[in-house]
Amino acid sequence: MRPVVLVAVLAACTTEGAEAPPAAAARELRVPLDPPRLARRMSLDLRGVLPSVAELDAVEADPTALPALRDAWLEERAAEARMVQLLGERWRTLVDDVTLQVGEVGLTDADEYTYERSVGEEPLRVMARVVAEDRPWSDVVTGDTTMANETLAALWPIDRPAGDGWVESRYADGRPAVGVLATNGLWWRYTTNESNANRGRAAAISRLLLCEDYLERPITVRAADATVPFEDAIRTQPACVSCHSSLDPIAASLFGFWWFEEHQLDEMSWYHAEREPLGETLGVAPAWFGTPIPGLAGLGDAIAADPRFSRCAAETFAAGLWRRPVERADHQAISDFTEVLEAQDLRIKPLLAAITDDAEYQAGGLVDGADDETAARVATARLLGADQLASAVADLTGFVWEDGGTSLMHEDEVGFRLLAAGVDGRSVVNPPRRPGVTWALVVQRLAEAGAAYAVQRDLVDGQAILFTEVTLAEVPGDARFDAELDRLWWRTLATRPTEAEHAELAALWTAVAAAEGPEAAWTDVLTVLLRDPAFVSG
Amino acid sequence: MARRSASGVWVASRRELLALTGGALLAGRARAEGPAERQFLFLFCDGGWDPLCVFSPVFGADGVDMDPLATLAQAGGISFVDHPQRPAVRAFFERHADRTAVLNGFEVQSVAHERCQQLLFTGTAGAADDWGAILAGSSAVERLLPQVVVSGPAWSDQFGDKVVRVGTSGQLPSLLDGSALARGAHPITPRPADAAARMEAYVQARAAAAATRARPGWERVIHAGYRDALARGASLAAYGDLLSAASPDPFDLLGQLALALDCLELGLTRCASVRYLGVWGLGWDTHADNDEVQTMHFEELFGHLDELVGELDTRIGTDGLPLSQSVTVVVCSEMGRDPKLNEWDGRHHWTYTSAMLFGAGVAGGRVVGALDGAGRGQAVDPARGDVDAAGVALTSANLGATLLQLGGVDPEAWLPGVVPIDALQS
Repeated sequence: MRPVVLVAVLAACTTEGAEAPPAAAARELRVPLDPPRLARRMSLDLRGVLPSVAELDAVEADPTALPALRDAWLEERAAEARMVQLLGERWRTLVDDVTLQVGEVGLTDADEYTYERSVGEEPLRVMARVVAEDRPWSDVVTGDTTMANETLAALWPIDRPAGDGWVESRYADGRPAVGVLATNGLWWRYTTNESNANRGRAAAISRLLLCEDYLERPITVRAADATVPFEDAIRTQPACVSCHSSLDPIAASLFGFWWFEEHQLDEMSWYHAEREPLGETLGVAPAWFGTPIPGLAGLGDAIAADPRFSRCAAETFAAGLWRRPVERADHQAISDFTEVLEAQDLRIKPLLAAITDDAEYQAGGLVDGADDETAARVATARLLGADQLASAVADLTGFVWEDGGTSLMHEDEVGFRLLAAGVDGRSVVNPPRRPGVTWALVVQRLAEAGAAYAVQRDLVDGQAILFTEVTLAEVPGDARFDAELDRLWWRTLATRPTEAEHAELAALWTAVAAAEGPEAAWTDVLTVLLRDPAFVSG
Repeated sequence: MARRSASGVWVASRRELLALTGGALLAGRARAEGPAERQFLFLFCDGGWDPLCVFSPVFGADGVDMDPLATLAQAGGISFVDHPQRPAVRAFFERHADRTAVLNGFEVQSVAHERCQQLLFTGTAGAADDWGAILAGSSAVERLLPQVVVSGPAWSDQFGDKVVRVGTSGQLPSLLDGSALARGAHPITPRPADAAARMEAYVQARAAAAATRARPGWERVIHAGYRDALARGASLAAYGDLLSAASPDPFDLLGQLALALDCLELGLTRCASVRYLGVWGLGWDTHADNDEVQTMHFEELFGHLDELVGELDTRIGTDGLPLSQSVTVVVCSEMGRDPKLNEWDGRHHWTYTSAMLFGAGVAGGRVVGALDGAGRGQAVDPARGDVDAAGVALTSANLGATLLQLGGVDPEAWLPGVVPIDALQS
């Protein structure tokens, strides 16, 4: 593993005439976040919520307590939900359009969001459960179960045990045990047609599980003999063969998911084992990069045995937690993370621990004189995107922004996902990293709604979940008021307010209270905290 | 100024917009000083159009199946594919060929829709800003909506903060006027103006202080970006009514264009982009019944483009000149279609496609590039635009370099070694 703290003293040891050490390469340029802010970043990234006051207190008192806290957070149910969103950014299945529209499956428009997300989340839930149960990552391509909620169980041939929400289930149509590769949700997102013949799906497998994207290879038909028919060209023309020689044998293994009709529920829901031989129409036998496989049943094992599979897992989770794409300069870091993963039986939790223990993840600033390339690459601060904003505000205030069953922070047709730096899985596939005007506006409205909800709940209805110190009777200068103000600041921002900051916020409270009373004053105080630059970044 | 509603009526006027926005909002930094900065309108035809239907006449070649009813036609120096069921196409070229240029036979180097879209607009498969974002980010004029995405795809990297999505159902105006707060099980009313102003002042001061304190790198990028976004949001609030009145139907191209033109006219925007899904939203991906469906789409598209030209001539920009003198219109699609029809009378994907440009800075009456007898793009001399075996094999990057150059941005800084097509520029 790379040392978390690199040795900056080498330069000082250089003696005149001796060969200079590679100081620029060895010098640690990254400055870690303060422990409470680092705890906040980890908590948001791994479970989507802010640390509690007690957790912040613990890390402030003893920064070495953070790894144990982090490990505990990974055991929480919220961590599984967070993995769904994190993996969704890469797998691009959380889309607002499904080939088989809601009316075609016998549901109503009111069910549309639930239906579309149920379909899109299925493969993500399978993977998130593998992470949550600390099973080997290879289970995502070799497991014999899926995840299903009530919606999917009612539509698809699935044996689902009783229970609320997402439950580990099994397809009842005899499809092979290949984990996510056997999920309808994946292949309803990555559809195919007569001319494509599963090749797009094969390319998706390569991108998602090997981090090798066929579609990034520039192609040209300039060099091809244009008189050769299309189906012959991909087998004979060098410009075509370079991709199709490996792509088509993977595609040939996927014909159990071949549909003769795209808009029939049964046709698209059931696995068609009898259609597996249709792969022969591609003129090749199922194979994984030159090694024959017995169709889909052998695909998962072949992928799991491919050394690129574990490296891609490391890359996937590193990019997700760094909140940026992996670059060439990250090669060694990804290699190190891959080593950890492989040494830990492909379990993801140790990988997540290694990534979050690393200086790249923990960076909160750069030393003076850091080069531009490092400044551009290292995410010393990150924008809270749509999902993190939604889950953090929901946890803190109890407010969930839904309209007619649609989570407005997770949807684009009527919601605000793209406007709030989210990923739609179609035209926006990387989390936006810079604050835009629509993002700031969504933050504003979410903050206003969340603050109003929490004040009503806690100070008017008396539930005292977030506001635990005060009633509507206390005013600035009262010990309980001042303690509450400081506690809110600490909880939301993970920093301690200075005297000036405390006074400024108390002044805001006083001004509002004078005009509209304490309820409005607390609402506005919480609103501005939720819009604070230290809240909206991590 | 007029706006075309979903019902097909141009309903608003520039005067009305001025009244809506208080007029004074047009003053100041949104108004360009000195020579007008060129603006751009991207009209993206989603799904992969068939250049053989309009732009690329390849008659009499064994390697290319042309519609039997199609004929070669010319208007104002532009050769195009004429068809009895596409009179609007013919009419467009007859009226506007002198301000229109066609680029044929450039390659997008993929046959997958999503990748082709990215390559078309960025020239690369990696993280990058699209042409609109680069132009918006390089603007010399501070604008509230530097690149407005009315609909369709957009890619951003360094200039993500310049890209503003309106939303497909009025989301942006609902955020601006606070009506978004009325949605859901726990509706609230927006705070009174004085309370909102007090909060805004507090948050803006906090953001400004954070930006000042921030260390170099992403900490500074994010905090300075937040400070700027807050300021833009506050200024944009005055346009809530304008944006709300123009909430575009995703299937109503004219409605979308009207909003784009409003933003261009008011100087809010340097680049605007809209997506056209074709008649009934069928899309352009014609693996079956190619000629029939493409004909429908092109006929409607060119009818709308004719109206667009009229609007550009009529609307006056912030420099006091018609938009047609400051706005470059780029009409494009992510890929072309196989020169040979398939068994369903459709065409599969093809890496070579065409684009059409008109308006400011465009060399009218000009066709650059061509397909050969097998439907492959031919190399061209980018200076003269002629087919030249010793010339440049064009890709979408050459189109991008041309657009950047038209916008006064050095293409070399973004697309090293990629030659702009001077022949497309007046």
